[in-house]
Amino acid sequence: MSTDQVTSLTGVNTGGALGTSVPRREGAAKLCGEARFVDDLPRQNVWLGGTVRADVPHARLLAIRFDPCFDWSRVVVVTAADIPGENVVPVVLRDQPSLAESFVRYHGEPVALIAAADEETLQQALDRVDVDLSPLEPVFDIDEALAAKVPLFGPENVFRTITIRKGDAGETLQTADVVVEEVYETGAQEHVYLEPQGMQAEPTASGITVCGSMQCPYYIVEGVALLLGLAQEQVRVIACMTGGGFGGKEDFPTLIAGHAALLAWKARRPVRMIYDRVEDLRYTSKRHPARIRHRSGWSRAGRLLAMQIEIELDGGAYSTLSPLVLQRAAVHAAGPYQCDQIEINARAVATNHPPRGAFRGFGAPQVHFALETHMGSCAARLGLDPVELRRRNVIGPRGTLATGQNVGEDVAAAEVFERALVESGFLARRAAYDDSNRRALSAAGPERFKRRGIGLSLFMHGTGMNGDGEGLVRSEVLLRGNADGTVSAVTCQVEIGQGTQTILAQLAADGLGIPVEWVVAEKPDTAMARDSGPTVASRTAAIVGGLLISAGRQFREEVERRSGLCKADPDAFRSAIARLATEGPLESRAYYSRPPDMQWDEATHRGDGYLAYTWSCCVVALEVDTLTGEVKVLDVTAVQDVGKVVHPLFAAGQVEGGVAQALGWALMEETVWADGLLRNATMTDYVIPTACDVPPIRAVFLEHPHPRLPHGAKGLGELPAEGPAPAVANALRQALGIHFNRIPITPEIILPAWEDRQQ
Amino acid sequence: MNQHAAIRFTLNGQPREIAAPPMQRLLDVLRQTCELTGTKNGCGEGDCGACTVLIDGVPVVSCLVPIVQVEGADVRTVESLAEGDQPHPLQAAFLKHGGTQCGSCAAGLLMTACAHLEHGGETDDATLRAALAGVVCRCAGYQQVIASVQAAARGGETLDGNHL
Repeated sequence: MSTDQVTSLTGVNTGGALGTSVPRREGAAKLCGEARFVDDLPRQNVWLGGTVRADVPHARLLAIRFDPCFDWSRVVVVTAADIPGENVVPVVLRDQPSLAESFVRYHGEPVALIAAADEETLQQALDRVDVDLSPLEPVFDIDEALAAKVPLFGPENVFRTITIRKGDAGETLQTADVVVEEVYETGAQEHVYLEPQGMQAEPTASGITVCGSMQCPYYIVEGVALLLGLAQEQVRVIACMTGGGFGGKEDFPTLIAGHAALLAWKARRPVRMIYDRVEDLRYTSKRHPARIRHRSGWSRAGRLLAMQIEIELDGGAYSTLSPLVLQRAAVHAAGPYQCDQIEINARAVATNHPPRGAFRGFGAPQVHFALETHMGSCAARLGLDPVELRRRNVIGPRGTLATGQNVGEDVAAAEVFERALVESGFLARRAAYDDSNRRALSAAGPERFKRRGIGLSLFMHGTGMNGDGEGLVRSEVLLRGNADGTVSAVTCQVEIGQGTQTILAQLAADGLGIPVEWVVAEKPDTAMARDSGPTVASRTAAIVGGLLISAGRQFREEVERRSGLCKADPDAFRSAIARLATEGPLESRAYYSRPPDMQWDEATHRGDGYLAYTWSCCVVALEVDTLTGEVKVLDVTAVQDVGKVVHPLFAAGQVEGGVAQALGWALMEETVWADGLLRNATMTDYVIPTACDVPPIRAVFLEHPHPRLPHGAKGLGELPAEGPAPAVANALRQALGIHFNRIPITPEIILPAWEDRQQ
Repeated sequence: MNQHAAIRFTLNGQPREIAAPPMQRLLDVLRQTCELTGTKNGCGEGDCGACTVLIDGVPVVSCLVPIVQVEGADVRTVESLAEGDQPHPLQAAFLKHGGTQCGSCAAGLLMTACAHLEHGGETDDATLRAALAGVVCRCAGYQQVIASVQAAARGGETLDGNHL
């Protein structure tokens, strides 16, 4: 054993599992081309499914016409009338049909499904269907939707309203020395997981089996059971290797899984549905576009006295996860600052855009963009250094967030901030860029057009699901001893690239006190695993991993009790597992329950919004070519307290990938909509960062384990994607002296703004 | 289009003769006819690079290549890299340095990097970023990909046999 052995939380040597970069479990299979994604499964006897879609954004559905010249006996057709159960995609509010029945509410809404033996027949059949629609007035703008002249959802076209109150912000704003008011806007963002959406369904003797690309197997169990009128036990869901998710495979797969299931059910044979990239870009969910208004009141000395924040999210045609995205947005909107007078009003609004859904950060990136850009504006108005302004207001030990949550001693906001200043050389570089920007005025050659800036953002992310969410899911994990002395970790967490199989094996091994190689992380299969909750919300390592540690400790106690071994060497322990597992079931389960000290009131949004928070500061340095408007990001420094780093290589990979994705959102990734349809629906036209666009990224981790989690790990997946956009905006403020309050900030935005400023 | 033609080429070192419509995409022939599913279909338009294979040693997006075009050519896919239990140095380095996360772009990155190294390309950061810019990765932010290729170029990347 090597010298970097660590002692686990159980006090037993684990051979360095937790906190070391053990090999990725499925890595070799991926690198040899042997890992099986859904479209890699054998194709023999599998029919292919396709979707007939509406081609207007809002209409009454009159009829679906099938060309009588086509031989329809060659294919299987499903419309809403063929649905044996309930025509619904269950997410939160159950307003979305699986197939449109009488109304169409977005361009591309599924109207009918067809399956055929081969692609050619399928395409011929899809071309022979006409959808008879009587167009209605569509609504794409948030204000028009709120005027509610065109009814889309409820009386006000609002999926959910959330109000958070702390003190009386309105009154304080009237007496504050300085009030700063601004509106910030963020655009829709496409996930661009490299593997498009795909599912395969196959009827079985007892029900149906669905496998495919997904983050949440149990969402699909619920959806398919409702749709087919089956008991949940009759629906088996298996996650294939999943080629990226970023939230895009949280809610959307329930729709496509239902479609594959409907076709397979009627065809009585396996049916596979794979979206091509254009279909995926046009019709799957996006990050919610947001409009956020900040009114903040300050003392002349730069003390944050009051915050009034209005948030509006464009939820699209159906609610999907908008009620929960809104909740995370609202709870994070006031950021990591101590302020005693806060009022947050948030609404998720219905429009005729395709439904928006989960995307890494889940509402938090939008509100952090608004607040951290606002902090830059406030510093300018107050004539204070934005660094100093944050120092004066950052939340400290036992401070309270907007919901009244006392952060206790777990608050590293100030620490990540100060550390990021040091790690990035922020102050010295800012001064150097001021100098070089001045010198550029009299420089010759290309340097004359270069302007540089450095900006930062300070933010946090709540662990797991909001408030009661984790308690309601009541996640369950299982450890099972095997006859060869290994232990299987049975969950339904999906490997989507983040390293779930590896990390959960590490955490289980830590609880068990055995080498990580002796833990088998079983693949997600609802026939084997009970619901350990969705693979979302940065909860896998934190919540499910915590449960595996608890289950591991129980398992070890059980083995020690039954075998009479105590603190045995690993080989003897393994032999004991093998012996006991041969004699009969050797299992240990752990369930999530809300910590007794955690209080949350869903009606008033008061209390502990989240179990714990991760804290981060992101610094972006960039260079603008004022001749072309192009931005070159020079480097990014991301400092974060994640409680405990489980796997250093993967953790750095999450930060680097999250930063890259957020830089795309801030600078490049523009969605162009016309009549409710995404017009740039190819990867030629929707451009994401390449290796040449992403700068060196430095990830620095602080580890303050949180007492509410047995291993202290507070999650990481979403956090890194939440800071870069406002840091970019703040860096551009230094580089160009221009305040950009909406993203993406493309060269087409920068150039005219720069030219205006020159005049 | 539906008329099949006999296409002869070398696939991963083995001579192959395939009967296929001449305009069928090389990507589909590889994945469906040859059952080599390691090459992925990311966009179908030549933009994402996930389906990159080597044709006569040159990285090419197989979604834009009609099968007739590889007549007589040498085609290599990701499945050709490892020799039995022995990983290619790039595979070993990608595993060790985080070069793959979800795995969808892995074949494209590996084959592009393979061609770059075989042709004696420089391995400094800027050169590698330019060389790999035709393959997009949405998970990793490229830094660990670059580090993986550099480690492979340095040599000495080995793994225990049980990793593959």
